[in-house]
Amino acid sequence: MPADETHLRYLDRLSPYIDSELSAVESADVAAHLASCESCSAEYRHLLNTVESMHQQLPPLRAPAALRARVEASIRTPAAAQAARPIRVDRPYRGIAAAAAVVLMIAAAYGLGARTGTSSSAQMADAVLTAHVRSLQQGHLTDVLSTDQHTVKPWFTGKLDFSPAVPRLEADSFPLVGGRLDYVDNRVVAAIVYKRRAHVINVVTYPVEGAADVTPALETRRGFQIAHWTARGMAYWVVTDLNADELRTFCSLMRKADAGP
Amino acid sequence: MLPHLDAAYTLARYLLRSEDAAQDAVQEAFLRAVRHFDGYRGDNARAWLLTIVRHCCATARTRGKREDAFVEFDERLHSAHIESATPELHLVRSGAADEFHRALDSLSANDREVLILREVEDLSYEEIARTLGAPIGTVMSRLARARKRIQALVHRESRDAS
Repeated sequence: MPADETHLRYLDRLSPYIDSELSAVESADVAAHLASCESCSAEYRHLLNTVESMHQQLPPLRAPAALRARVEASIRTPAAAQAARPIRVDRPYRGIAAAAAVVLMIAAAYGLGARTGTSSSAQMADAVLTAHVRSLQQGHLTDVLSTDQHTVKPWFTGKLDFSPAVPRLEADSFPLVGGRLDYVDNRVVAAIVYKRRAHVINVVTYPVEGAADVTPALETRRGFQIAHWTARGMAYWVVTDLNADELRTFCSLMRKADAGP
Repeated sequence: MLPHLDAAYTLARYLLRSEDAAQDAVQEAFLRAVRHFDGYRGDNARAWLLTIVRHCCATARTRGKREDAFVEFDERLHSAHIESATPELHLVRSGAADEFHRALDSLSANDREVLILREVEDLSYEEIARTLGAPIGTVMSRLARARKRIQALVHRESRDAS
């Protein structure tokens, strides 16, 4: 008879086992245990029974026709349509009259394209975040250490096939620390480093050909704040442990400086 | 043609207690989805939309009686809170279904949410994690716990009835 702890270990995994969410090895391990342990096997049948009953008794619903009509009408209003950025897709969507209503469908198609081509935005956010964390390790933050934009900007020349924007923001308490080359998602990118108090801000930037401008979107990942936008053919990723408000301030300063005189 | 409208409605209808509040939340979610299309990361439209629906439902719940809960003021919202705690769902329900609905109602919001996303919406753990903004490990343990709780509740109820 195995110790109680062994049983508990298996009982905890019955739920993911039912959902096929365990690794093949773990799953085989649970199956082997169930075959040899009557009490765990009884628990498993009981839980499986509950889960199957829930599936039967709590069915997915169909939206009422009135709601469908209401939602279609509301997202076709000028305000909603204006706010929705036009996204170009290669495939024509014939026969669909309500342009705004297909935004989400296009999103799905766009998603499929993104998966086969370059990395998705979520993967990019992860890659940039990893670069940020790596940069915080001793001696990895900057290749060129300078608070002077006229030192940092030329330093990139010859190392990159583009010239990153290096605005001075120390008047707004975001002093420039330096820059470095980084390698993110199979491309060489420029990382410009700023500080706010003790907080490091990494601005990763690289050219994106033919990409439409995208206004900044903020997200939180593993406790870091990430902002992303595209402007004038350049993609920007800002990663920091600052709070969202200060990051927003930083982003608008960056964008204003980048838009230039 | 609106993709995922049924999934959005299902989540809202199970999370909120009145038909009107659920429909308002769905409409608000689609509006937000269209407006905040920038935030869409191009990989899973359904999970993305359900994340927004979930937020709209949370807003509807926490704002409660305040009249600015949604874009448009809707008189019917005020009646949302005096309606039955158990959604009718326009279905003729078996006794077993009633049992599950009552049990769901007595769970915490966290437990109810994870159960609905898994058992009703049939999302993978990864999709649930994304929708809830929680790590997969948390989803796994929260779901296991919620299942145990609902199992105990339903089991007790059927014992009491007999």
